Amino acid sequence: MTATRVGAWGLLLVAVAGCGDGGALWARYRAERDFWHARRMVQEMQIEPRLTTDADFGRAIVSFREIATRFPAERWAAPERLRDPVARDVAILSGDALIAIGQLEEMRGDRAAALAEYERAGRAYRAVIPVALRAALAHAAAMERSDPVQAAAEYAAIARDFPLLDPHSGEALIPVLDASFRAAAAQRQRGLAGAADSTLAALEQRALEVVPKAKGRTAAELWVRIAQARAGRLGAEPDPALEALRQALAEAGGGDFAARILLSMGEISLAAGRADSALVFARRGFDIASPSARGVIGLFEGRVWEQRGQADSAIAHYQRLAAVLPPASTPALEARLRHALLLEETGHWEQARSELRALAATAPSHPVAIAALEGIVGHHLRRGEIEFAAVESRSALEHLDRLIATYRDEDVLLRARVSRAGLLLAVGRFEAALPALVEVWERYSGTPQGIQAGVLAAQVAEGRLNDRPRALQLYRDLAVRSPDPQVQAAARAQIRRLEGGATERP
Amino acid sequence: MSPTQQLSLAWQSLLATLRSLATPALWIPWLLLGAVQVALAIVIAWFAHPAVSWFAVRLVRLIGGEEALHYPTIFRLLPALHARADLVIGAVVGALAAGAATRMFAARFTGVEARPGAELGWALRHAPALIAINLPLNLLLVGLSLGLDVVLGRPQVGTIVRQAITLVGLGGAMLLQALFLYATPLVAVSGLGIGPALASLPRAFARGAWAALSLALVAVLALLPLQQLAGLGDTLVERGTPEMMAWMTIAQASLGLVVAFVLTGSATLVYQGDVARAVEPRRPRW
Repeated sequence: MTATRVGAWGLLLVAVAGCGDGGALWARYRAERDFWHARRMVQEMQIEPRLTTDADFGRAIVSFREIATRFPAERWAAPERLRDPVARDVAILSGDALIAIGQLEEMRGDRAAALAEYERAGRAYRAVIPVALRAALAHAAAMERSDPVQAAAEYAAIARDFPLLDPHSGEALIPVLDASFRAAAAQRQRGLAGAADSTLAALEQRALEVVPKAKGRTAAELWVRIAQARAGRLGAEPDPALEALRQALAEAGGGDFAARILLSMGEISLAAGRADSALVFARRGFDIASPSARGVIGLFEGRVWEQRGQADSAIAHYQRLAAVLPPASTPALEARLRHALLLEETGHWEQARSELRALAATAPSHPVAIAALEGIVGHHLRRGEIEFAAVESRSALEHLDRLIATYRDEDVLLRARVSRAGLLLAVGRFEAALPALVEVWERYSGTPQGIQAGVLAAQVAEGRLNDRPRALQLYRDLAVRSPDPQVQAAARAQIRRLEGGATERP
Repeated sequence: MSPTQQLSLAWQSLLATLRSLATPALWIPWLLLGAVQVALAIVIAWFAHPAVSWFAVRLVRLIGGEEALHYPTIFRLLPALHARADLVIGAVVGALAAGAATRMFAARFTGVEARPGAELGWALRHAPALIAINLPLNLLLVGLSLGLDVVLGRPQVGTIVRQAITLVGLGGAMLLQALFLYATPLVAVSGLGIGPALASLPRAFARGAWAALSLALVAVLALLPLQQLAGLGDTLVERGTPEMMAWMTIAQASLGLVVAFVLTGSATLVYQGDVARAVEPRRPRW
């Protein structure tokens, strides 16, 4: 009797254990858990990137590699498996783990390894469109620094080869649409205006083919891109783009998305010289936008008043806008900055100065506060008031030094250090400006601001301080460490000039 | 009894029950309820494991929606999901545990040895009455909780109003708890059926209102820190330890059991000491 009972319970347990949904849900649970913990590791590394060691990178890479190994593409990205949405989620997580490894390799400076990981992810997960797309975009982005031409070709290939709508969810694949714009921008930068227009025309054509299949937000997203493609072409008339945006508006169904479409309609109208229409679109957008989205539209309306040459109306508008927006929000601070700068332009310097000082005191670490400090010094420099400029720059530099000493936020520190170097340059304190520029270059050599500071430092060393050895050292540093190949080439040319004893200066 | 005498009786009952905390036999009904609650937390947290997924996935989807089937969302939602599922556990298993515990406390306070097996058997046999007598309280608490969720979910509700509504909600929960404090003793100590017990409830409350209110207040105050702890969920998950939420939920349930133990014991003693006289002609024999 007891044996029979034990047997029955055993059978029940086996049945119960096997009554799941084929293990896909448990696999997704484990994949999500492991991916989440691995991503936490990366987030912790990003808090203080300079303290990140190679071992930290190694640990994070091993964690992501384990996910990709435990849930291999051969098993989870097989076409018959992808019909199950849970299994598809596992495939996406596994593919994203490979892409994350590539991003970690990029972070630690091994671009070749990163590119190899992106290629591997793209190949193994070509049936999983979100993964294949993210891998292709990551590859193109990694190529952008070293080979912009190749990167543009890759963006063009993404725009051509990937579907515009996700076959599983039916939603618009925005990065595919945006890849066309990146490719067109790169072509235009290289002087290939005709090719850029063809890329945009091809996007418009593809989008027009799929837009009848889409509805609601997806259709609206497609119409917005059609409008951008129409407006982005050389000598484009505004009406076809506006017509596409009207279609987008009809599909958007209100809310902030509709407000952003109205903003785009305003921008296109303003660019076409139709300021009155722009004003109407801006006001309609402002009325339907949520409080958090109103700021951007309000700032645009101010820009319309400025372009119409009605400074008084613009000043009154910015004042009203700053009063209705949340006081600490970026648009409110920007409205106050524009208000102050317009007051300065219209000859009300005393009012402008008190507003600029108030801004610097209200949100000391905000970019607007730093711009306000620069605005005060810039006013005196433009008027040739060197003594006043020197006094104001000393106060601004004290403010920036306080920021640098007390803040840990890397963005704040970068802005403060760049502004500090810029102010020292502007008031002609070149001996102090050089180390400030070198500091920006050494700390942020991977960013455009860092590269620009490096170039300026070399120019100041040679041109202002007559320190050719220091200039040579800085150009050598730029030639090796700058991630921008054009800057590297320019630095090598300067090295040849300085070593050859030529006198022509950059 | 005057309000002062009632408060004094409630205090003495509370102290007597606290002294009983170290009596292992009195814990048996609560440990059974605790085991079910711990199992529930584990099943919800690890719903996807093949051993439990056949029913746990449906349960999690039912009480938390499709989004709850993802990691770490399941841990973020765990206290709320557990609380929702625990309403049913509390209404059924909790009512039986309270019934058995009430009889064991009543026996102990009259000097008779508590017999866990016999009292649990009695509770099982009288399950319909024990569940039904507590059902109005459980339904009213659910209604109050849903009502608060609806009101507090409105974006236009300001911080001060929100705090005021939360306080009113706590007051309401305390009042309901006090109104039904003698419900289980009416069935388990006086042996009344569901009809007579429900009919006697207002009289019982009227007799021992001050004691009931003070004991309910102690219970609400003791459970307040647990509700604050539940608010730490997002922080715990964001700090990289989502699994801690499972331990926190189990800790919450355990502390809830201690409060239930103390409240049941105190209510039984107050009931035996004074309230029973108002609802039954003769004292029960133990």
